[in-house]
Amino acid sequence: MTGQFRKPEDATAFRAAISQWQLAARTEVKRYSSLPSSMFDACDPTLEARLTESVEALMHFLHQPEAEALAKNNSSEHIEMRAESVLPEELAKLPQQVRGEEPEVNLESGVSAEYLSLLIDACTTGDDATQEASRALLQQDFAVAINSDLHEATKAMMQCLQDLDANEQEDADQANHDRFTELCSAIAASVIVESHTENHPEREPQ
Amino acid sequence: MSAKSISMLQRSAVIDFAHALVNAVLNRLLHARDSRFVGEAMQEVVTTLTAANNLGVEQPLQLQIDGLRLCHDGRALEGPSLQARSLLEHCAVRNIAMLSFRSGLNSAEANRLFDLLLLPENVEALDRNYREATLIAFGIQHIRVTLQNPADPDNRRIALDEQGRALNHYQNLATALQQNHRLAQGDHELAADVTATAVERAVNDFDEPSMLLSLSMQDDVDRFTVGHSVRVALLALQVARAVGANREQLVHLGSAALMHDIGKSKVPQEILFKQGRLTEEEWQWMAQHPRLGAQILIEQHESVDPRTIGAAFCHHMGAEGGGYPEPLMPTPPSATSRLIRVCDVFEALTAVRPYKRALTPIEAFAIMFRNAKDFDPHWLRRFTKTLGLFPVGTHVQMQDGAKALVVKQTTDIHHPIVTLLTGAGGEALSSGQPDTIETGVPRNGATPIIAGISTHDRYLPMPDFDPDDPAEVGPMAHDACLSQHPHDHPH
Repeated sequence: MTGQFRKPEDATAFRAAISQWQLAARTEVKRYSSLPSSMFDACDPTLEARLTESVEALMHFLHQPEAEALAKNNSSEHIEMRAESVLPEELAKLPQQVRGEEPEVNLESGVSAEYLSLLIDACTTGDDATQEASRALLQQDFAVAINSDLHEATKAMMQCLQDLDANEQEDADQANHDRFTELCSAIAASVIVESHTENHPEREPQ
Repeated sequence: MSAKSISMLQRSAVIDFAHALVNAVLNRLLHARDSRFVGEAMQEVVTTLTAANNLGVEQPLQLQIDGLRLCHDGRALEGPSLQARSLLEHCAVRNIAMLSFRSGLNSAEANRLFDLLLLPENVEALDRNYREATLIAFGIQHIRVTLQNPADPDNRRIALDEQGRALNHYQNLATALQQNHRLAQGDHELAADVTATAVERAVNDFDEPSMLLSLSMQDDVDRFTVGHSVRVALLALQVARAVGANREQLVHLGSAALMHDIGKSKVPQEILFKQGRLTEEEWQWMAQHPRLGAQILIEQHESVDPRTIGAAFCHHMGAEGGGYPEPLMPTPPSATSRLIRVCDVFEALTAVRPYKRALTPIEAFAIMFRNAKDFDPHWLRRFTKTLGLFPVGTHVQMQDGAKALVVKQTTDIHHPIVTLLTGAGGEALSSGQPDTIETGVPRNGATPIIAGISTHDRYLPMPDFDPDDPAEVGPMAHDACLSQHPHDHPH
């Protein structure tokens, strides 16, 4: 009986739910009463509904949720707890470990080289959509000429590096290191992308 | 509001319940109504309600909604509120002032409540005209919904104080990230602009994000992937500000940090939230999340900032190699990615997880320095200096027994400025006694020193810090990896 009062799980809109509930309630009350609905409506239109609610409450009481089962299911006994321990000596020496002047940090450092490396990785490990997107970005952002020869690709990369160099403002060592990394990356990119497209001609960009 | 104050244990149970409720909303937004995840989230609501009941929390358990926060007993539940934006907004649209929960609630009934709270077709379902009929029709017996009284001045739009603005920004960041995780999970185009806008607003509004950060360092902070990413972003912004990053760099960095775990949206939830050791196969899946994240970002039609793609890919890679994944053509991670890695690990160590307790920040620093070769040494030191060994928001106990709260850092990383919460020995503060003091600075013949850190479940005593006498605390065997950094061992 309770099941008929409960909101059907596929009716999540409240107006439909109310209508269904009212219909179910009227049917249910009628089933256990020889009196016509009009008699209820005549004295108190909400009487039928309230009667239904009382029945519903009673049935809910008789069908309490399975609290024990829920509690058991949520038991955390099976979780293996990990504990990291730290010695007082380790805490004590933290001020020394942190002490000292730090060199200037350039948040932009290594961004281009990292980006290039990731695009190359995506070119060769991603699915078709990723490969296509990463090749497009390689061409767009690094001017990697995918189907050109290595010499041309390297020239394009050198141009790309010169452009980067023009914007470089940080100290020379770091800049040189970054440029060198990017240069190596760029050349490797051309090789990898080229050999990949040769090995997978069906994946060449449209 | 109840006149009877509740114990810490009871409040903790209420916080657990509120977390469960917020988690249930997120799961309903993320998964099908009758999915296993929603079912488990609803069961958690029931279980935490039962637990609160068993601890004697006054029934019904009433959660008030003030527009920005969930409150209980008149006190804000800051932690659960951080990710409650969706719940709060849906309640606001429905003019709900309070939700009351009685024992006897079952998970199906809880799920039906969310039909009413979250589905657009039910915006009017809880209007005064329909409310009672709706609750009956939906079989909701153990939850009451109290609507706002339009005449009540408390219900007018509240002016936001600094903490309110911080909470607002935190919720914006969390919501933007939740939206993007949902989009990524459904293979839809990301809303990267929403993330950038949320970061930009937070950056513009807060010159000093420590207020935002201190919000996330409370004991009752949220425990979800999204919360983790928001905190990583706030940590990264804090450090970047300290090194003089400009506004544009901050927005790029904040967005990158916020999205660094976007690849997790593609990891099966059974693996992501598994409470136990992963099998080899599961680990292989998990270890793919950085690469998956980068690929999601690369596939976007609107170009995503390279730093964001880099952070998604590189946040588990060591500064000098190691970690995962291994790119085809190894390249050292960028400075941005290296900073985000430091923040990511620190956040993970200091967060509560089902399988571990939360470490205090100072313990997390010690563990990170123990494994220093996994991090960019400069960023690790800058990070520690910026936050201080006792970050803002840390509850400490002074050597004289006074309890205090860290409110500001100084140039000395273990001597922050604190606000006294009690006098010596835990007694009430005497009138005229200054309540804000700089630790380590002698005053009135005594030097206030931090004796330990108090968390909700333990007390961690502090050693004697003696930065001027390094010989006294020489390096330990397992710190040999640090010897390559001359700053660490000046002698």
